[in-house]
Amino acid sequence: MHPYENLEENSFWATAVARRGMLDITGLWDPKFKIGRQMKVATFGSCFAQHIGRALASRGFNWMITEPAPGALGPENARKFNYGIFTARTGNIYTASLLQQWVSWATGDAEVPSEVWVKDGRYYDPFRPNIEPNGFESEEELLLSRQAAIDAFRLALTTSRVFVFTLGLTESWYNQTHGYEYPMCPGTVAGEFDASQHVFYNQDYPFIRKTLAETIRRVRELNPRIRFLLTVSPVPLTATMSGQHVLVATVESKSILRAVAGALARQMAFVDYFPSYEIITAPPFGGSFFEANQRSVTQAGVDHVMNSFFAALGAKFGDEAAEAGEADTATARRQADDDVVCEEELLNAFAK
Amino acid sequence: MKICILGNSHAASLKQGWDRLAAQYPGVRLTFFASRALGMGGLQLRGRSLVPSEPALAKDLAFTSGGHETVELAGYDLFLGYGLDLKMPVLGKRLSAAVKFHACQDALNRSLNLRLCRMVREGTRAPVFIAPNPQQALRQENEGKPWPYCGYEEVLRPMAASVDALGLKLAPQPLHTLANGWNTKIMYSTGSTRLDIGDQYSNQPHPSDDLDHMNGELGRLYLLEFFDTLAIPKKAC
Repeated sequence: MHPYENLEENSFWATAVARRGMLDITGLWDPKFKIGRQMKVATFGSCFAQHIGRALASRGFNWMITEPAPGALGPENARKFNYGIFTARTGNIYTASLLQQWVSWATGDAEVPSEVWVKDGRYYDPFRPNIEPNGFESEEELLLSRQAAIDAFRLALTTSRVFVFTLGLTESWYNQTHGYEYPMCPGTVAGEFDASQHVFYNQDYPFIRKTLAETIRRVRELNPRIRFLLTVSPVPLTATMSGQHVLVATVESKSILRAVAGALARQMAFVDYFPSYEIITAPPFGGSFFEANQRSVTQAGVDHVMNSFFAALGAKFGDEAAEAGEADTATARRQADDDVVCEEELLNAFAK
Repeated sequence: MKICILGNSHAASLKQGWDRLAAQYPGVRLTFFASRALGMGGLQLRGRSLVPSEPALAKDLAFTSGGHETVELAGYDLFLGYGLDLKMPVLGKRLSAAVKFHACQDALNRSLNLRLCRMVREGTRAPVFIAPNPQQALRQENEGKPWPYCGYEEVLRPMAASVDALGLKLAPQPLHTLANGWNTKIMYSTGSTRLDIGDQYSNQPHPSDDLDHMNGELGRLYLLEFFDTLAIPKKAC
């Protein structure tokens, strides 16, 4: 007798993976907690997180939008101005440390920086460089908008029941004088790169784990009922400053992020991990969920991820979670993958 | 001056206001073409005329204009599209100017008012003015409470910019008719009546909880300011 004799089928590669068709690989996620239709769910993170919010809404779940577009703004312009991408207009939050930064602004633990970037007479927010397609009219307008986003982010922290965060990157850029982090290297979207000020840091496992754990605990102080659902973006890096080949850098980054997410999900009862990363990238799926550029996730891949998500919830918690309205697939399909707002992709413009 | 007014139920207020003012403006002739709700959506441009696509609309046009089933664009010096589902958007104070502009533009593009004014613009070079719905009257429970969003005057700027960009002109509600910088004073909604199109509902009072329609006094004040903008003099007393 030995312990392996009592393991379920899912514990063995042969039965759980090798002998199954790609789409028959199931049971990847055993949800720790229920996400009911009425529960307010906030979503933030890297580009892939955008799919989660939309899918929640299309299935009749309560995807929170704490910074709604003005009612008169049509859907096309709302999207252009980054409404309805994440719960608040934070732009992409690629790293755990950026999330901590946003939390610190929302809680008042840290002062909101006054830095703004000016380009061609327009003002750009270094912390949300793409939030308005042509920047802001004035510094005052930019700062008001940024504060509105911070207030909306705080509302998400304090009133959501589930906070979905998609980890995207380990590579980061900091202002070494002031200590704050930029989501994009200065000079790429706007701003000017200054080697004496702007430093690159490829965050390691201990740093990310500590930062994310601290952030989660801080948010729980504000909102003791909140639960976190972590995911890792399956989208490879557009570019790397690490000095490594971008493929190698990608795997290292994603591995670190995946390890952090798994560790915190094991360590904290109110943190769970959903394996969207594995569903898209693991070898049994043969890269079939990537577009020809080997980077963008296909709509079929997004659908499969979200179908797996809702199926797992339904299997564990019953009809409400599974059947929360039939997916509005027509709506989801209208929002094609190339509609995903991804500032990091702008780095492609610099590829030779 | 011959002014053509295209409108929906909100035109009732203007017509009643004009009835009180007409004698003071002997040089002005207002002709109303109106139908309730979105009935005016049945108008089509044919050459230099707006023609109704349905008999019911033709009947409304004939009644409200005093006999004309079509709008002969060449017959007027100036046009005003009044109400017709154009609502001034509610805009947060921390929105960027660009978002405010696009919100106004989207509101304009969705409205029947703009669709009709564009048809008029295609058929004539006469000035075309566009006026939003009158602002909803202030609810009693909101008296004394400040309006938390951009005020009417502040929204006028991006709305006027959107209208100007289309070669039209905005003809807003007089600011002094507003209670809190956004909602109309309740006194201008009290006693409002349904547009007279010659049917059984014509001139009937709106329900007491209808805060969207205005009375003849608001119409009179609107026209006074509109004529002032056009530098149309009143008859000397």
